Amino acid sequence: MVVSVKVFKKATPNGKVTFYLGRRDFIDHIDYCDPVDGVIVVEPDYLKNRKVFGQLATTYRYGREEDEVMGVKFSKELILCREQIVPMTNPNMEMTPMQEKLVRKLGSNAYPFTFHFPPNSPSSVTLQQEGDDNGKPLGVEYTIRAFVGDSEDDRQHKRSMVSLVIKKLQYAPLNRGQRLPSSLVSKGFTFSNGKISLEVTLDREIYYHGEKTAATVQVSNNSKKSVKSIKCFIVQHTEITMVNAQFSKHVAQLETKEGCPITPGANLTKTFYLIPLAANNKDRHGIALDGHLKDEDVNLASSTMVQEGKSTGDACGIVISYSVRIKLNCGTLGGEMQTDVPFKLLQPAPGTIEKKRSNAMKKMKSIEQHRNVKGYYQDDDDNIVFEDFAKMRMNNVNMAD
Amino acid sequence: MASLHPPSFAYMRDGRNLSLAESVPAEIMHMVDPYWYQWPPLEPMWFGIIGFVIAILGTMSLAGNFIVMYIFTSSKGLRTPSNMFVVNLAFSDFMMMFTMFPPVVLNGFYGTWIMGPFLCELYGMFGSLFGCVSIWSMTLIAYDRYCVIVKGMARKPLTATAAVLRLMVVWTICGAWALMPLFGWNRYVPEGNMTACGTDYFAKDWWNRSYIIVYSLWVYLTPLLTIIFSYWHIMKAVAAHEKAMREQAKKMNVASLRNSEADKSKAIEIKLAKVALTTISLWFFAWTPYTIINYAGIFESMHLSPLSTICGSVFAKANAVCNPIVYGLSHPKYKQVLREKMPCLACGKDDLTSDSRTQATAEISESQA
Repeated sequence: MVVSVKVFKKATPNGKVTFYLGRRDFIDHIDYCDPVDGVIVVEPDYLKNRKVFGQLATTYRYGREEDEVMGVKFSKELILCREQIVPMTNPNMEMTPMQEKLVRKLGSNAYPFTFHFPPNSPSSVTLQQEGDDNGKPLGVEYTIRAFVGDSEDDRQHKRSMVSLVIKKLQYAPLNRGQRLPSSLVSKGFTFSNGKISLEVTLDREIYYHGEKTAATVQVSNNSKKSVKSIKCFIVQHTEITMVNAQFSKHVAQLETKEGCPITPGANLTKTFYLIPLAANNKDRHGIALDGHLKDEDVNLASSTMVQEGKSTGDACGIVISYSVRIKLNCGTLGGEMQTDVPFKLLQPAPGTIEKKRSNAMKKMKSIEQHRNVKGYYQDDDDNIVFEDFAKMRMNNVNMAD
Repeated sequence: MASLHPPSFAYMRDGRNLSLAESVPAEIMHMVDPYWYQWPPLEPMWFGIIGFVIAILGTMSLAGNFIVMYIFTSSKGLRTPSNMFVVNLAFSDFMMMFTMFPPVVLNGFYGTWIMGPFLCELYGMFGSLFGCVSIWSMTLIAYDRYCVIVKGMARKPLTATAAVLRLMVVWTICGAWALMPLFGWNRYVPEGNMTACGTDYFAKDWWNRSYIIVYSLWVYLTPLLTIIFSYWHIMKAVAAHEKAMREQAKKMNVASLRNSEADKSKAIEIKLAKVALTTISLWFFAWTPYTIINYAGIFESMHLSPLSTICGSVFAKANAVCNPIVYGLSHPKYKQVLREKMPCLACGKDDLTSDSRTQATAEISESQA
């Protein structure tokens, strides 16, 4: 099998300046973050003493565009890095292997650039909207753009500006940990003696996307009430730090009466299996997804991880966490009792066995996709596959309508 | 008990033994409160002025509200559940002017109410109904904005069904209140200079007074408090958002923070505060005079002249002129569509919207090439 490297490219509307990027997903390894490395190709004789500037920007969008009234905008843009790319300010710049390869292939008009994500920059997260809403995506999004101009603020020329959306993601640590998260609660009743106790234990602390979570529920009923039914949910907690809002959504659930009623004096041990999947939550308002670029293979948003010694309160942007919630229905008079067990839902780090397995799954899917993708061609010399952004652009056009 | 006052002023001034109350046709004489006997008829000039002012306000309001209804219903991007409230407001303002201004002008021409007792009651009822619906539409708009901005992503977006349901509740309750005086709780009588009809606020028994008091709680106090509450929290929330963003930019060591696609010249908080204050004060100045007049009437706390009472209703009608401007133009997309459909009426400078369009077309041509 020929090992080919996929390269993403996108040109300005007038076709004079083109972005080449080795990847669109950049990984935050908690202690350091992959830099955005790419190459820009400028058509010779086009610039005529003008310069090409590059920017890395993040957009927070926390409300629908159609809801914007009274001059309030639900979107904020932070320009994280700005740099002059052409002419190069530092000719002896250190290049990544990908950049070296691209520069070698694309010739003398190729200029490498590198942007570094500032510390504390949030992960890409998209908040799903209901129905066929084709407005701008909600959530945290990263864009790199390049434009031709005389100065940094000279951005009027839309025809010589190119921007493309990239993702910043977090991967699970190599070691999944041995701790089994659990929670124990008990509930007494106002007019009767005795308690019902509920213990929930998960089989893992960190799950990968698509994996089955197993929650073992132990109920011991020492009260005079009986448990009528058990409900099990996977809850996605979303905190939008920029507007100080938080909400929780059930992303998977089941209800059972098996083994119920748990009569006074009886015990029950039972394991519930649930898989939190984005596919099962399509078109639901407010579900957080890993910032998605294409509709295919989108995941639920990964749990936000922070550096050791820092709390999630210090994190910016959209902070995601998950828990398994078990609810016992103790009848009309008894009310409900519930407990939450937190866990993490993450992307497996590359190189681990799990990653290979999930990649194999994705590859099968992508073979089908590739039949539909137009505008990419294979270059046998260097085994570089140039994937055009034509599809993305079509989407943009639709949006503008 | 206020009883028949002798028409003292009347003949002292003009030497004519005729008061304002006696100037009305005999068929509706029984509806005129004795209070009006103490006033002389208005100078004929005033009828002209009032008729003129109402005619101008009426035309402006009909045109403005028609445009709002047309633009909001014809453009697909504007047909959102939230905008149903705006369209409802425009409809109700339109109908208020449509039913109010021709009679006022006509009666002003004759100097008194010439349309008979039934049309007087009908006129009063329409005024009450559409006024109430307008007030509550503005309240629903304020509350909806509160939900969108303060609760934000945490709430489910308003659905069309929910919006229609809210409007139906408002129409039903306002309809019930407006019909009540026809069935014996209070009544509609000629007021002011006798060219308009409204609720009877000179009734001195508690049965009729109670209508005014309870009705004012529904159409004045509750909406006013809701509107103030909503805009106050909106301003607080937006200020908090801005602060949070600045702090986050600081955490990430980013100096440049700007609203994407917004002009940087003015702080968003100040701009918003202006809009909110305009919206609240517009509402306040439109409906407070009317409320004061009604309360002054039932509690005899003020000496109401015919001219001042008519001013109250003119103020309320002026609201129907301003609403399309305030509620329409605070909507960015409305401005954009207005510019496309009626370029002659467009105001304000062309903003970034056209830029994104040219970009889009450029991209189309590129991908086709």
